[in-house]
Amino acid sequence: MNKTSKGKKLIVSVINVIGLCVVAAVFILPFLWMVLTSVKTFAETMTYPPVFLPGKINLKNFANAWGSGPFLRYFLNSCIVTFAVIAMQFLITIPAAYAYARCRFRGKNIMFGLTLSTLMIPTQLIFVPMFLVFSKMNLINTYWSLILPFCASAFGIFMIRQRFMQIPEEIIEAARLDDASELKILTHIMVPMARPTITTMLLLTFISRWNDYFWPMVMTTKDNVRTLAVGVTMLRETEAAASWNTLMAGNVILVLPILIIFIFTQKHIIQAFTYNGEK
Amino acid sequence: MKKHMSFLLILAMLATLLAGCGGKPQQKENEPDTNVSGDNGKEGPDEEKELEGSTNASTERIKIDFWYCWGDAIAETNEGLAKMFNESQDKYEVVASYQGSYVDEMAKLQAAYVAKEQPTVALNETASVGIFGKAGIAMDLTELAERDNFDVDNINAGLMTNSYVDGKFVAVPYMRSIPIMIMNATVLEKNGLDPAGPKNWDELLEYGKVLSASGITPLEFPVTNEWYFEAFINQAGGSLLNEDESAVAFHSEAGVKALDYWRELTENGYANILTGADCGTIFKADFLSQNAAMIMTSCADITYFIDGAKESGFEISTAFLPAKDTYAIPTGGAQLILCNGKSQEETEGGWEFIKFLCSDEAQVYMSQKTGYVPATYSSVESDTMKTFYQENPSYKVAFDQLEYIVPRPLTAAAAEAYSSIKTMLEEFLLDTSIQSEDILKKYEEICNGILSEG
Repeated sequence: MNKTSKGKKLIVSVINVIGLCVVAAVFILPFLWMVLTSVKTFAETMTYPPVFLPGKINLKNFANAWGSGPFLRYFLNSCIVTFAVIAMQFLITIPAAYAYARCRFRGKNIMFGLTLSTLMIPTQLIFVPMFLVFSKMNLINTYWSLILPFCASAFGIFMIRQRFMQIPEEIIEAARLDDASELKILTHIMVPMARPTITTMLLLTFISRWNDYFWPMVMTTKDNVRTLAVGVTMLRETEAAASWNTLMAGNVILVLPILIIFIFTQKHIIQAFTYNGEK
Repeated sequence: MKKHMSFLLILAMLATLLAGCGGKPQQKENEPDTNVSGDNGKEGPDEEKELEGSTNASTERIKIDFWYCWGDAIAETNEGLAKMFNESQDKYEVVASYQGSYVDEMAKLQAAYVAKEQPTVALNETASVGIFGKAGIAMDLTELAERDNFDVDNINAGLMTNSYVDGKFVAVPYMRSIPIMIMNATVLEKNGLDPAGPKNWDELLEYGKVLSASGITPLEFPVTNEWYFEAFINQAGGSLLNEDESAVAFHSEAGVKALDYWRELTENGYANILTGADCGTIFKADFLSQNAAMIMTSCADITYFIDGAKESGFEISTAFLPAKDTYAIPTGGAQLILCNGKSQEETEGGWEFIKFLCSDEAQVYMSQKTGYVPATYSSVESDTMKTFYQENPSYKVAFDQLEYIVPRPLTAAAAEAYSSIKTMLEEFLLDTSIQSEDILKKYEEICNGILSEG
């Protein structure tokens, strides 16, 4: 009896491991393919059946990708825009989420509904009026046109509000009894307790801003404030055919910062998606 | 401690924000674009230096914005030409900037025009010239051309068919592409076939028979749009649209012939006509990996395939698309327009730049770097181009084909109807039970509906 149960357990764990390996492969293989292609020669990228490993490591592709435009400028621009948006979202989204979660004021539900409804409007629909507004304000080809529209995030407000609502009312009541101001409650209780959710929200913002091609492309007409995603897309956007090895080298350059940040924040992300009720 | 760290982090982020948003960074209005890489392929840091160094020299020049589409060799060519123009005179400074694909650029230019942010010179997809011409965005160049004795007759007459809107001369052909046949000459010779390629539909069938017997896909081309169907229907003596673009004309004997010929090619394994999202990429990989012997593709790909074939160890040759009753070649690519609403000085500068782009020097440079056809007769007759064609006969085929080109449509409705033609072709190729006559009739109604609304 004991033996069968042990055997069953073993089978289950083997199936588990196999299942996890399959899922991991689904996510890792395209990534690995990108990295391998980035060091292949052009002929190797075109061989059929495809070769998995390159004959020799060809780092020239990275130099070609980097040299195809002002990539240093693109990189700095991406950093400025992304971190500015993150800073603004931190300052705007958290107080807004707190207000929606914990404060009582007239029209709260309607305003929250309005905030959420912005999630349903696609960017492509609003870019022309936004372009006209920014043009009137003389902000086309400035960082402002890339930062201002993303200073508040409806998704972020929603996500953090939900987390704030999970925090027991008693904790806040106790703080109020101790004469803590709303700001103090927010900064000393709510934010520390919701740290994994906030980190995740900011990381999602980081990824979406860092990878965004459409908005920087339509709001800028010159290279001076364009971001890395535009530079990398330029490697692909050719009426002739793309050189996949150079394009993949550009993509590796593009995703490297995301990967580094993910490695440092993954603990928080896992926490954010695992419910942990305060008792 | 942790609290202090978070606070410091926020402060640092805010500092980045304030530093970043203090107006326009680094590059000032009159400074040239940093992306002037030309064919030098400079590294980022060098360009930064160049940017600083050139500030003083360019402060008094009148800035001319030039928008172009597509990256890679096309971007390098446009940036290179802007640089050449800037070095050739000291009155104007052309700032060339990339604006994405044709579709991206078209949407942006319309928004920019309303916002008065339009460039002085813009490169547009040929079929969008009609839209810009009718909307008054593209300037009538007739007066400027007459004043400066600009030789319109020097521009290839076939390419000029899309330059006039309501009788006004609004666009200059530049970076125009046409489809050509590119062949694996090594494979053709090995199979005892003439590497010059099939001249007509019957010869293409013979090539198909021989090559398919040797196990290689004889011909591949993608249905990314109506391009190749337009070629085949015109070769059979028909056309896609009637003359005034008020109705489609493909439901005809020529239309049936073209589709039936496609079916003959595919059913016998003589051709793989690809459909689907990645078809525009797959056929190129198939050719370079020597799984397909012949392809139909844009002449803008010639350089790409010459280099790719060299790396993969085979020779290529090029040919006209095969004829039926006649040769017929659809066109793609772009035209230059001068935008309305700019100052007199900017307009003059933009016009000077357009004239420069039509010069033999610029046309030869553009054609050699990209494979696009030179638009002027004199550039083809120039010694540099003659020598180039002698050394690289593959490029000349594209120019020789210009004699047989079919103009692009000019109205927005026609462009929309064309996207339905693509759906028709996909349906016909995927469902082999559909008869050519039936599907042509079905889509004639659909397309005419679109045209009558437009």
